[in-house]
Amino acid sequence: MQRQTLELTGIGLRAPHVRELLTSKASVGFLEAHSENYFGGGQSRKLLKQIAEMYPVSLHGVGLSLGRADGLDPEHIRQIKSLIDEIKPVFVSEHLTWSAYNHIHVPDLLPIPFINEAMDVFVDHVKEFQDKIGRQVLVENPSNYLAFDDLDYTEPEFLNELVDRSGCGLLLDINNICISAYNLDYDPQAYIDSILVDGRVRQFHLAGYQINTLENGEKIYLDTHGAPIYPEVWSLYEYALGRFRDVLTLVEWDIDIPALDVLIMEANKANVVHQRVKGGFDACTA
Amino acid sequence: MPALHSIQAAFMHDVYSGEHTSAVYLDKSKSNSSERLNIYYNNTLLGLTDILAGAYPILQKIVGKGFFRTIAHHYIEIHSQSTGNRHTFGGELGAFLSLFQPAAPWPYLSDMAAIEWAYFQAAIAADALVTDFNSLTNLISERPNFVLLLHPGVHFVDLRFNALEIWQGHQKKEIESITLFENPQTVLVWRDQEDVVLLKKVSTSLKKLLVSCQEGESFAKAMLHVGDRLQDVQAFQQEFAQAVSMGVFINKDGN
Repeated sequence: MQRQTLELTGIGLRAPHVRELLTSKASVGFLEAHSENYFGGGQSRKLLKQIAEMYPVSLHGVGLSLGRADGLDPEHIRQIKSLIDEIKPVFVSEHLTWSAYNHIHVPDLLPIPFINEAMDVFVDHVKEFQDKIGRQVLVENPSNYLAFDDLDYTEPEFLNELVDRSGCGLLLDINNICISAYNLDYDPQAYIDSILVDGRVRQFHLAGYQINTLENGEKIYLDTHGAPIYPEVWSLYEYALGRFRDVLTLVEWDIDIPALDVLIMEANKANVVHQRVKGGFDACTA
Repeated sequence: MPALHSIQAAFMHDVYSGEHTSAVYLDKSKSNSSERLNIYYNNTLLGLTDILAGAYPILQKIVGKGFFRTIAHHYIEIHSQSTGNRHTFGGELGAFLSLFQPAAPWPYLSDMAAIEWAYFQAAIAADALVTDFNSLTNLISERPNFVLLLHPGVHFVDLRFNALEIWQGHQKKEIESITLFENPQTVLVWRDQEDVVLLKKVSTSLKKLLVSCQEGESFAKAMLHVGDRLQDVQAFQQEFAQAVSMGVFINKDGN
């Protein structure tokens, strides 16, 4: 695969923006498409192919369920592989979550207990997936609303060992770190500090969250991707930029999707932060 | 710590039922484990309802968002998402509606759902090269036992009411009043070569041919079935030729 040099922040590719992005070239680093939205054929897939001819595209999976205990679905992998062959994405990414068990699926990303058995499942599944698609996958840290008991690893420890044993890369979602750190009461900067610095982090995600109140008055952060990026996420982003080199950034917005200009403006803010911290852009290769 | 299988089985049960059986596996030092589990239950309900709304926009328009949500929640109680491809969720909504008592005053909703599901599936079906009339004529003369395959986007919908008319009426900006009446018919739904989804009433003869093709029978055998009951040969030939020219068929060689 030909390597591409990218600099600018990317944005999530959403249906309302596709025509506009095809009409005139927007100033974005790359576009991230949710793989499952383009399974099969028809107009959406053809439009994605046209998009991929104009922009670098990253494929982000939401339905493979790498953490499921009962084995990956070969048909799902086949569909992703077919899309990869056609789109030739700059990145392929998935999540440190599960969403299927015993033939039942959910349209959500469910939390995994960071135990030895889950590690073995993840390592096997990441290796199997990478073998079948013939390239590295980036694994994204989840947003967590609850924690399991009797764990063998913290989340950063789990991610580090997963990279060491499977050869995957990491997609650090800064918004998810803020959400999980607030909900589970830990220090988000300490989380960043725990991720090893050796080129394993390849991409950052930024997004907005929502604050809800539980019945007892306790606040909880929800990963909605439906608002501008919060100041604390920007701060943690700056902190992460100070630690990791050659990492690309992507801004996500999935509900109450704003005009393309608004999304690009949010991405430009990330460019400004990046330049301020780094004194210029990293020339990232994907 | 119990096996991952046990945790995932309990958690999956909870996100579909709203129960809290997996709370025993959670960190006891964090408060509100039940409410926190509810977040995943609510996300599942919302996510699956959104998927249904995406597949059934006209149905939602007809019944309103509130009643559509009620329909969706009842549907989700008995139907789960069965693959990681969310576009496969919701195919039984038409059958579900025919038995869903609160929807009984609108007996045509089941027909509407069947049309919308076929439309949605046709739009996202895998691409395939269609056969043209010349290739087909050659195949008929050279290989009489060839199997004529349908484009993956082809669906048939058996309707009880004049629901196609109602569905078409809802495509317009200003919806005119349409009288509902029973009018059993079969509608063919498919995607043409320009990726436009088309809907068309078809005769029982053409449906018979298409079903035989779908079941993998040779073209010659499928035609024999049709021939048994064919009353207007010319009308059938025209209808078949139109189906060929509009991209309903691919042949076994994929060209």
